[in-house]
Amino acid sequence: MAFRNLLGAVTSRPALMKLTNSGGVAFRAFGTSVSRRSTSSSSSSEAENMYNRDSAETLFRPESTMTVPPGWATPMSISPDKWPGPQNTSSLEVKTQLKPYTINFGPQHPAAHGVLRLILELSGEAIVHADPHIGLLHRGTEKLMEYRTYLQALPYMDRLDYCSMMTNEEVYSMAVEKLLNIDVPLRAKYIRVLFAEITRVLNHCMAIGTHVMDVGGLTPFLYLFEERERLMEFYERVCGARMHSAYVRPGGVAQDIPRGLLQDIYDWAVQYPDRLDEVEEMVTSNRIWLARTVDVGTISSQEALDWGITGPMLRSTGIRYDIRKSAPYEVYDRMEFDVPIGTKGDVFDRYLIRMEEMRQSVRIIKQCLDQMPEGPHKVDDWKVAPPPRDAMKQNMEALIHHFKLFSEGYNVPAGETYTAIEAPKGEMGIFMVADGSTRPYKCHIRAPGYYHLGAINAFMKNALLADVVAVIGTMDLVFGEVDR
Amino acid sequence: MSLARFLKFSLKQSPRQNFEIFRKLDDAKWGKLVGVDELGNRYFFNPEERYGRERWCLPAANKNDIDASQIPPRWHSWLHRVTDEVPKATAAEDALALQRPKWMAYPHYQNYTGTRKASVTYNTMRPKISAWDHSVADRL
Amino acid sequence: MLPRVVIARAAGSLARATPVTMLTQQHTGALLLARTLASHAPTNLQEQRTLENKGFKIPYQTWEERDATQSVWDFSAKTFFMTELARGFFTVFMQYLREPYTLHYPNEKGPLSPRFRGEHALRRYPSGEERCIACKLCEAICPAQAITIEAEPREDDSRRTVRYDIDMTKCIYCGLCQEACPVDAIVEGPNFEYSTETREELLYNKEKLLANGDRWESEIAQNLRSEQMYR
Repeated sequence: MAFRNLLGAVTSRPALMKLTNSGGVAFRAFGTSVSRRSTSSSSSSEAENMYNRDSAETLFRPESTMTVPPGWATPMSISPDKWPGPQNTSSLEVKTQLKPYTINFGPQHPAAHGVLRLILELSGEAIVHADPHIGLLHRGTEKLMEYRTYLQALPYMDRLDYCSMMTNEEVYSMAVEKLLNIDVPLRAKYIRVLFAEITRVLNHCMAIGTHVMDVGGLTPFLYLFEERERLMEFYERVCGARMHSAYVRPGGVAQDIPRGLLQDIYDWAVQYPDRLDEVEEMVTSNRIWLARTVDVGTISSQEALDWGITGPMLRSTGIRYDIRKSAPYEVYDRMEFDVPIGTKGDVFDRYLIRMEEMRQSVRIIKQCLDQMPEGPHKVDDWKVAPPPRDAMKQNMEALIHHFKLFSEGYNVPAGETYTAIEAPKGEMGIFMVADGSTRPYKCHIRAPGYYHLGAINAFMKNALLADVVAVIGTMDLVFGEVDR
Repeated sequence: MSLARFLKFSLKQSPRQNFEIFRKLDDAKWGKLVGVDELGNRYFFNPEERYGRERWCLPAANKNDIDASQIPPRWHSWLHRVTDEVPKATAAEDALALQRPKWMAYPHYQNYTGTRKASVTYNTMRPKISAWDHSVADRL
Repeated sequence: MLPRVVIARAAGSLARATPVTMLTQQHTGALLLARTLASHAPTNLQEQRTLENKGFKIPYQTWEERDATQSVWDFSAKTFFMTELARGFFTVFMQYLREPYTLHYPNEKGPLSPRFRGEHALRRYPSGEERCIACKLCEAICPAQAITIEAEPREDDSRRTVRYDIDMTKCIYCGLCQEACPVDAIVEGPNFEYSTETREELLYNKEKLLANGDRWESEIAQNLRSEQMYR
């Protein structure tokens, strides 16, 4: 298998990433003409070509008798005449029918990223079918939120994707703000963008570290978690919790940034690309890593669109889709950053994209630090955001508002919204229906990991058993959001 | 812990203290004594170390009784870098203890879980129902 | 011997991530070796971008072109001398020479902020009077419904809680209770070393919470004081 993979790496056409500037125009010709798989769905014939599913998925379907693709060493490829043992009789007509071998992957597998259970049908070492079974971490968040006020439901958002906490809160807060029809102060938006990008780095540190660890390299994991620790400290300083922050609230953020934090974030941002260089030095051109990732878990752009895949997974196929660019929210329209896209849609492309996204996040973080405006950090409307404590202690009006907010909550006018942001893993969306009461009538969470995991069989074309962990790693699954 | 570090460590302080540090911490640490708290834990500061390791504590408890929760509150905030303010050394701290309200717990005590002093929860309410008294009444 | 084109293609694809140095001329072996070992291959796009800004021109437009420009010597040297692995190992070695990032926990502790949300505590006024007035806002806001409060008038007719229970196994440490409290009675203190051996010990009642407040009051007050501008 290793030999086959290595061979695949050797004979494959290498992928390279491209960057799109804002507006989706490729701003340099780097590899534009290379892609046999087109990067845009403009030409229909090309789209049809790349949408052939004739590879292992059909070849390996064991309906009648198994067809073994050339070059695969399975017992089938040995002609029955040459089999050793008592079967080798001319009178006995050997009619071999190899059924797929079904194994259970997880939910306790260390590479299963939590509680993923996969039912794998194998033909030898090749994956015929992969079937994810989920729900082991189901907590009923969406239903619970219908019985909580809008403020009370907020801490539940942290627990969805517990590797990128503040982006979950951000999308929830944006949905509520849209229903309330309020606009948050500029400083709050900058703080949100700053911490959303810190969250992106946090998440990608986790994703790449564990991914490399899954395919056998422990060292980058340690380097990246060192950085992750520093970012956790920033989280802790700004909101008091290292992970489940409950910081981004409808109407702004909970508290203003403490003094000195921005300087420390800047110090971190200056040194962070060097740490990424160290990781790249070890991983990016490492032949083992290449053998395990190049041309593994490939998906075409059309398939990716069909399966609802978003984020770095979609961009690796060459589609320029990033909500920060295509529908800028908060202050992303003021930020200057590039969005990396891939050409081949394999695991290696996604690794490169995540690395580059971290560098771009550092760029955005620095811009946020430069441009951070003065002003309030939440709306000055006591109907939505709690009054400051000195006002609450001295002002009767404020005290009444305080009590109303923390007991009854605020009424959100009837309406519905679908609000989506570019979470580190993809498009994180909230579909929320408000009925005019203080609690959401319905809140559906569109978590990117759920859709990525749903498409896992499409990623498993031509995959071997050892590629499963590479594919799971590249999906960056977090079961808090998949199971919700 | 490198050899160089260990050699430096063994030259910095008295062998007696080095022995205690090495036995309790399994590490070669040195530094300036900043203060001693009411439990006898000693706190050191060593600016040569990198950030995060420069403030450290030598617990007073025996090696097997060392617990992370033995640090009293104000030293806790110094050790965790919540504040740079150093709590007063022993004598002054005692003077302050006189002004401390009586209800404040002094000296500090550790998390007693797993011991006989572990906190046991109980109902703080008066019972809302009166239970049936099952004693047999005298027959008339 | 394999035909040249095949090897060149193979060279290109294995060396895929360290590509962009311009390799238009054929190199002799010594020059190649020196160059391969010494060249800082611009693996990341940021560096490529700086190169681009300096007038760097990508020497090919398609992968086929690029593969054709790759020298077979380059590929062979990379493969047989394992240069990319050597560079990786060098990075690891440099890391080995650095000071470790590890904290030795019970004696050295990581940084905390005054905003840290740890173990709950019920505070008192300096006179010793407990602050909680049984307004039950914390009970109302608690998303996990971990707080249970019951109140009765005391002997001096002041309303106080007779039951203030926090189920610490349900608590999600969101901090909404301390934000809701109008008298700063319930706070999430700086202590996080309260792990217990049994589950029952985590069902805190009023006495335990008041004891926590008595134990941590000096630090809690300090933290609240330093945070007063932000609250």
